Amino acid sequence: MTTALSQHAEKGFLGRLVERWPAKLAVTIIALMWTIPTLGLLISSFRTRDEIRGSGWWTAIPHLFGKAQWTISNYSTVLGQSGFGNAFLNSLAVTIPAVVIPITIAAFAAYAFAWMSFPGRHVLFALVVGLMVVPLQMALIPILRIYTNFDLVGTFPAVWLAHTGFGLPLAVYLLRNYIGSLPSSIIESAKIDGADDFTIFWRLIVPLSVPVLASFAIFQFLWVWNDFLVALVFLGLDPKAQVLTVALANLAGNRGEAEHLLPAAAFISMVLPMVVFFSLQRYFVRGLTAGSVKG
Amino acid sequence: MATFAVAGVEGRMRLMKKGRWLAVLAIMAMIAAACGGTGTTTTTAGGGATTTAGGATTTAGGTTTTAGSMVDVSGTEFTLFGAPTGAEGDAMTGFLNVYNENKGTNITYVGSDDFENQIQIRVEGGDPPAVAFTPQPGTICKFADEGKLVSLEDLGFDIAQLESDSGKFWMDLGICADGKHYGLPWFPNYKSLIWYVEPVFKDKGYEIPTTWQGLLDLSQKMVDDGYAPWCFGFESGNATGWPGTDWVEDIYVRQDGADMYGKWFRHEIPFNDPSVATALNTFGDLFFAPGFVLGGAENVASISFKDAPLPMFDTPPGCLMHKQGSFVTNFFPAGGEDIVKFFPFPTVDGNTGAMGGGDTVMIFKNDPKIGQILKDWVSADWECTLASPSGGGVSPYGGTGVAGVERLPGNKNVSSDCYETDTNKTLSKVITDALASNTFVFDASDLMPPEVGQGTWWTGLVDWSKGTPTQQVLDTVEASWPSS
Amino acid sequence: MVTPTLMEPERPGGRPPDTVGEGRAPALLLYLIRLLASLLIPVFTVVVLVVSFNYLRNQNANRLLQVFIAIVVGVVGVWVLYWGMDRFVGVLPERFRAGIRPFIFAGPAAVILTVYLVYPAVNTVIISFMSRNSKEFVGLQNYIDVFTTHDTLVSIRNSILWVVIVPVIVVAIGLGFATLADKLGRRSESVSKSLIFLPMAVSFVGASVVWGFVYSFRPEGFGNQIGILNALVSALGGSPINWLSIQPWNTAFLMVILIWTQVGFAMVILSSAIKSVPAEIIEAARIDGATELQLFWRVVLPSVTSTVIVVWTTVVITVWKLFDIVYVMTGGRDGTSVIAERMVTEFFKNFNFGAGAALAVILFIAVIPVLVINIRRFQAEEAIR
Repeated sequence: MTTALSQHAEKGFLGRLVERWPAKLAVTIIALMWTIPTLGLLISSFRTRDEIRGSGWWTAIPHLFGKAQWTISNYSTVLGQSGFGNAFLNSLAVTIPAVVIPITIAAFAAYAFAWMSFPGRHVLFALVVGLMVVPLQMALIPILRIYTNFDLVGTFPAVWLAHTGFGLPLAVYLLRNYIGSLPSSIIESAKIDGADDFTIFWRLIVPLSVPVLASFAIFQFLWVWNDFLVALVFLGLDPKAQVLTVALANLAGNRGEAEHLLPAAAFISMVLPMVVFFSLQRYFVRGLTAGSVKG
Repeated sequence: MATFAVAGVEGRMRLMKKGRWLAVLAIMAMIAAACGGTGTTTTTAGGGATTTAGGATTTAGGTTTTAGSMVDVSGTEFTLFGAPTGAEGDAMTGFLNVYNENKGTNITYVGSDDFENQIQIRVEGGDPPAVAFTPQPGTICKFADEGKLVSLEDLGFDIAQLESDSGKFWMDLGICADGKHYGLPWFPNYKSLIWYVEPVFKDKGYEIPTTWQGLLDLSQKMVDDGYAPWCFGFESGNATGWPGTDWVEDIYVRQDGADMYGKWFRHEIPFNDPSVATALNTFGDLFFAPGFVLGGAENVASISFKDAPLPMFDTPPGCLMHKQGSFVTNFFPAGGEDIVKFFPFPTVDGNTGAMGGGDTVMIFKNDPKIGQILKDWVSADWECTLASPSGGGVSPYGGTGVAGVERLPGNKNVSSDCYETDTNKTLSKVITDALASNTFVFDASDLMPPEVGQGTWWTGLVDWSKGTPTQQVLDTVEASWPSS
Repeated sequence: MVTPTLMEPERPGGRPPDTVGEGRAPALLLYLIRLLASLLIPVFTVVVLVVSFNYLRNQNANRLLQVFIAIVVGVVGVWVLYWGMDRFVGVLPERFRAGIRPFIFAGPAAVILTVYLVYPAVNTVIISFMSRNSKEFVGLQNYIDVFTTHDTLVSIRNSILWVVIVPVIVVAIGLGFATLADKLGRRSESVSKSLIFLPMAVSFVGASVVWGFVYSFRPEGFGNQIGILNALVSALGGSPINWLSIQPWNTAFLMVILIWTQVGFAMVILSSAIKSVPAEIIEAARIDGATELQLFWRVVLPSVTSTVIVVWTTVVITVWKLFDIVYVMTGGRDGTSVIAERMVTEFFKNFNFGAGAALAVILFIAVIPVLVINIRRFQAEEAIR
């Protein structure tokens, strides 16, 4: 690790720059292509309804600094909507536990599938992965029936558990893959030292798995935060319990009269997931396992 | 990552109607107010409302009668579930606030863009709302036949009165397998409107046509003068095609009458019956006539129904006429309603008609208090309250308080004065006349099984617009009618 | 060089030491007390969970407090539950432990999966053999209908196209981008990865608006083009094209939307994997004179193969389940329909539960080959271990 980097360092700043430029160019082109559509959304969120329907969003770019055509009324309408703050809090209340609970449960299961031996584990694991294909829409009515029988409809735990259920297959899959690829020597040495599975898991596996835990946390956060259907069905019809996605969806009006609010709504909704993404970025670092099993 | 489509119900149009305001209604208002509390002693003409026993009978042409005594509803709490969101949803909430204050109830409104799916999920999952109102009366019997709904008879509604107030056609839509009524008409919307560019009409001396032939002749004249007469737009996500089917249905009900219309959507005649082909071909006389459609008929299915009216506002206007329901004003640019006005769909073969849609109430919870509350809501007074932000100044309870939203009346006794805008004053009168004479029919697409009404009929019409022959289209739709 | 130090490990035995010299009876008693005590922990945890559960059900409680308690309970509660169960297992005689432990670890996951996924799946299979309102048994009728309806066959054909094309492209772009970004400095890498990730954060409603602005079509005379592609076409002098109506390219245009969304996912995971390739190996290969390309193909790629397969599998399943892009952008018109979109239409729009369920079962079956590939791979991996 150090040697490779120091090779780079020795080349000096200009040297490094020259060496990286093909990569930088390719990356820039791809990143641009990916971002242009979203740029359209951003620009549209500052335009009035008539402008959005009257001309393409790129026509606004030449007049970037002319104040007259921009408006923040879309944002103020969305933010000022009654119940917005409440919906935001509800979304948080739904999302955070719905992220941490599946990660915890999946991590334990992933370790079992990866490093414990019990009969049929390969087939069982494949079954877990296969459960990813069960369509959400098919599960809603049977689960709602169960919830109604146990009088759980409209409660937050109902939604957490539902999201846990739907997110577990992917979680177990991703985590098991990563945990299974950890050097077996680490685990062997720990076992030789007399540690039992729980300790190995908690003190060894989890710290080493931080990158994949962080990855999955991001995806689960995104999925739950942007989820519309599960929250709508299981949180019931109480307007106080509405989450952000439902509140924003109702903005556009039944026939799309207020569609011009959607870009602003999408961006407001996007802020928190991006913040989460940025803050978890530092866990995607190189070489956590490097150097841990030498000698 | 599966978020459900938020497509919702597109193609709903709201139309306001004016009703006749009988002097007796003033008395009714007093009686209604009196019945709001427990037994009262206000005497009125006709001497009815001394105590609650014996109910509030009305004189001729009055509001819904309560068979039996007026139930005290204060303290009742439930959630009302419906499709309207945004400003229309706010209007429902405003209405309920007024009602709650007046009667001491605690009813909340919840709306959802995803209403059709949600109501089905809730009912199948065992957690239905106490009361819901749906824009698709066809689904009512589906729930009723499973035993999930309470019939109007069981709640003590006077069916004959309802048929008189809201038209037998609408009431009949709620008759299910056991012969009882499960759907309560609440508020309709109106679709048979043609919008036109008034300045050009004035300029060129065009007269508003009242017959179909007149419409065709006018269109030809416009072509000769160098205009494209019509703007069309059928695109609507997975509901693409509905504006076109609305045209055909408007023509059909005028060509063949409400009875045949009923046979059509009930599948008592096959879909490819000659009468349907005639209606479709009549539409074709206008749609495929050279130069009549801006952008060409074959492109219409790709134009969003929201964009379709826009060319009317260009200078010079790209087109001069556009058929659409009253909600289309939401897609006009600012000030658009000063330029573009409407006239009713013309007669065909000399016959008039009125087509629209509407919201029908279904009741999941058997509770006499809920029954009483609903009887209130469909009464002329409360419909007047729901009608406009202020109730027009004639509503005894005020209005919804939400600007820009008006609800057309489902009760023929609602006065046109309940409305604030000229548009809706006119339209409410058209509707109450149609209800009273039972010529108001529902959009057939909403009444047929969804495979057809929201599936093959729409896609078939799109194919037809691109050149598929009439008979072939109708045969395909007929073949797709579900057999059960 | 050093194994990460663990805290003092628990005694391998975990059994209460026989107090020397005491009789068997008190030892047994002590054992029972320990058993009970360790059982107490999971029981106590469950009680706490239930109580807080009931508190959290209360809609009127202070929201912020609820969130806080939810997080605490959700995280700590679950952890304590596992810990408690593990203590319990530790008390059991040695010979049971190894057998039961896997069930402790994997048990909660299994229970949740059974309730939330297995039960609905079984339910779906059952109603696929029933009539449209699920009241009568009709055997294979729904499946026969599915395979004889032209529209459904079209959607099956389309789904297969999607599954063959999209996952490969997503993985390729994701892997390529992750590799390239890895060469950049820390900040550039972070920014560029965030830009690729951004489409995932845009909720689906936002995405449909975004791509509406790309594919929008207005015929001449209907105003300015508000879609990028048609604006380009018009600017170059052509007449606007109805992108989403042209078969078979409209399916490709819809695929672009999914690719746009999913590459972020692939990139994040593959980036982690690339970064865990031990630097020594790369260094050694560089010393041996490998070019960047060779480095990628011969060194990096083989090391991340298992992750590539994981990502590919996940995207394949996502593609099989895909419906909202098609449902909202075209409603399945003009030959764009896919299986999952038809399933939702049949189930929720046509109220034909039998047909919808049959289509869902087809999805279940379609996924089996992918699962087989995975099983083979696990077995191969373990052989090497």
